[in-house]
Amino acid sequence: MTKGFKVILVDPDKCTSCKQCEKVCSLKHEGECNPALSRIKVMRNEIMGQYFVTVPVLCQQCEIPMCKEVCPVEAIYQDPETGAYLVDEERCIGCRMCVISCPLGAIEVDPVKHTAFKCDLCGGDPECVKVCLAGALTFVDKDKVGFSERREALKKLSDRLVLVAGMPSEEATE
Amino acid sequence: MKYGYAGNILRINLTDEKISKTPTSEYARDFLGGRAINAKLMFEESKAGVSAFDPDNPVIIGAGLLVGTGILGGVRHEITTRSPEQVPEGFGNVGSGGTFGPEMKYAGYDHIVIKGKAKKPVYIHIENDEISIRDASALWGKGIFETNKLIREELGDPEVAILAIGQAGERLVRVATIDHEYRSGTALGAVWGSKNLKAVVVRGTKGIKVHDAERILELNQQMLSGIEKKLKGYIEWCKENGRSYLPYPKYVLGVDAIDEYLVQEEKAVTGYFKGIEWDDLEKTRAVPYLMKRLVRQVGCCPLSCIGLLKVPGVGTSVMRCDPFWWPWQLYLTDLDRSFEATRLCADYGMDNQDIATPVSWLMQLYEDGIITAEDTDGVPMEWGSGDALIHVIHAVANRKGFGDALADGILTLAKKLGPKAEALVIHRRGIVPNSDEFRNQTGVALGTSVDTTCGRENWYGDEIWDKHLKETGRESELEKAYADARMAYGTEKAIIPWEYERKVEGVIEAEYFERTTDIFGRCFFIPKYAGHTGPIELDACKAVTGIDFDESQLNTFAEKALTLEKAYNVREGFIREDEEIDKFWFNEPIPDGPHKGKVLDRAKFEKMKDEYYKLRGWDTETSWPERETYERLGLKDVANSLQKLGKLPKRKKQT
Repeated sequence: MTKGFKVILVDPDKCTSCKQCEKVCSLKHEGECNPALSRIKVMRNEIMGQYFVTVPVLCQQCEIPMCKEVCPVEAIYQDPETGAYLVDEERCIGCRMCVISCPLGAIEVDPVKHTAFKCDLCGGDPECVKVCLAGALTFVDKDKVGFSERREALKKLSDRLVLVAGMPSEEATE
Repeated sequence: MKYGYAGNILRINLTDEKISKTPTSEYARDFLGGRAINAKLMFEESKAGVSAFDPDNPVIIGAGLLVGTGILGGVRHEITTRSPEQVPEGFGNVGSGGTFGPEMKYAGYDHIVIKGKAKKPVYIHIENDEISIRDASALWGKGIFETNKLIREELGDPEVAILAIGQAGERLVRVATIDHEYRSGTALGAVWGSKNLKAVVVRGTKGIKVHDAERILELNQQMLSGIEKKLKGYIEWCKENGRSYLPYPKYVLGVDAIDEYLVQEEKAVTGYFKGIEWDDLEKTRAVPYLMKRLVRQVGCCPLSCIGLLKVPGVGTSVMRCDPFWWPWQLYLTDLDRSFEATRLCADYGMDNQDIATPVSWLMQLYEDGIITAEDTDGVPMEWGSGDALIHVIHAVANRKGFGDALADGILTLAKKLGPKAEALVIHRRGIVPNSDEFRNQTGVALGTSVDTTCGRENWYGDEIWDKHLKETGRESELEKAYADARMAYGTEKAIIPWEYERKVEGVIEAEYFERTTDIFGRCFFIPKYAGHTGPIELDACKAVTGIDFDESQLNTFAEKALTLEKAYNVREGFIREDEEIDKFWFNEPIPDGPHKGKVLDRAKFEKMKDEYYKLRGWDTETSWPERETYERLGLKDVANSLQKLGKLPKRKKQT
């Protein structure tokens, strides 16, 4: 059942590459600022003179969670409240099966604790979304993801139409 | 000192490749962090008279106390070294946001001190505890864009944070900058060139311990909602008042607001420090241009104040400081050409403001018939010419043709061009002003003239301009501001830009504010836009470190930083006469616009300076800090070392 569950949706086009999400994520989960242990990673790639192409990567709480499927000790379970897949640190043996099977690279093993860690949606109130002023991260209903994606695509198209046709944009005045 | 710090000061000598580490705690108690520890290290690590290009001139990179702690805007590093741009050379400092500051702390370092000179081009690679000095011969001669790309490729890590110089820095161009993620600023890049140092690259995977993580998250939310409120409120206000603006949440260095403000108050500078009157000004406005060319916003905190622009046929690049009003200095209406110039400067590693004013000067000389196209490699310096601007950039960065002399500073070229050209140079110790006006801004003028880093323009926040308020029937807002000023300062003149009374407190406040944010390594936009300055800085400091400072304690650290910077210049032999802005501002009245006729009053200005020195505890005759001032700040050793050099003010008779 996915009804009522939410997911953090990423729009890389809006990401400003500021990495504030990484910082607050580690503060929330580790009590210290340590992006290496952040559940969200802003992957940056610099292109000659064009600043960075950035993609925030984090767990999408898959419909078929490969991490959970492959876990030999059944350390990954779903939070009935939020729908997030969580790691039971007591059970986790740090075998990295989840790491190699995740299609996004959104689960890692803590080099000190030797257990896997991943996004837990902060119990339903994700910190990363709260600091993303640019709106690259939004917390949306799982079954409305397609709808929000379409709406964004349409908005981008209409922005472009404004530029091409030279029509005044709704928000910009002169 | 358990929280907030990375813990180590890293020392690298490029001559013998010796590397050592010492604990930050040796300095933390007395100097807190960031710019203050930088200033202390700079004073300690250098001797009087060591020139900027001497291998013994240290380069100090410091990440502030709150950097890499997750507090909003804790992203800035400060680079301190002797400035090769100043004539004579003096204390130089430049700060920048980005990933370098946080990354160096994650690697374990609060400060990095680089000395010596490498035998061949090198770059420094720091990855946690591993430090290597690597061959940079393949990077030498390359621009910033390619250098960044090649380093990331060579190290196989796209995430490294990079500080680098371009060709300008390699060729010891005095206005060369140290670039970080396409930001630059004050020109210190030639010092790196002199050390054969192409880049410093850092990557860290350690954590920074904080006192109260939950409280940091809470404060971030407070600040963000303050910022949102301010941005939305500004847009509402624009709608009501018919001003143009960028749609929320676009915030590009606040250029829409500044641009409108400069034009509406008619306080902008056009041409070579002429007034506001220019028919084509409307063609060069920020908002319509940004609406056309802005791809997206980028930056180092959620505010993301940097605009990434794309211009067909030119390329993509970030827009840098003062992007829209420096073309006014050249009467340049084609903003795509000024973008092209900015992008070129970014790649060569130079600052566009350091180019714009000299070009404006050359164009004035050309108009006056003092120079011809012959003097500038056959390229006529005609007003508004994008070709002329681009030519100067290439010529300076490559030291080609007449650019070789300009690469050594505007004074060197002026000397070559003759006395008439020299007479028209407006500068302060060889540094040209940007497009700001001093003649109707006494606070800015004072702050700039006493600035320890010889900055182009010192921020003076507490002032209000009246023209637009009066025109739009909002005298009541003006009256309220005046009433507040009378309460705070005893006179409304304190906040009237062109008045002289009670300006000194405002200047001192601005100096404290600048240094406090630089000690913390926080962007000053955040406290400014979050709507509260003092208290939230203290709260942030407490959440991170657990230390409960009050404002006066914090100001003492700021004063220590400032006094050490000053002491460096005192040790160099600087006296009051070295703290001057150009005589131009006292002699040539503003020619037109609402401020027509305004000019700085020498006697009143010097009186303000006297007041400033007295309030600082500095001698009014020499401008040198008194022994008591050093001792009050716990800088007795500094006073002693200066006394040996005869650089303490003479004892005055008690009256």
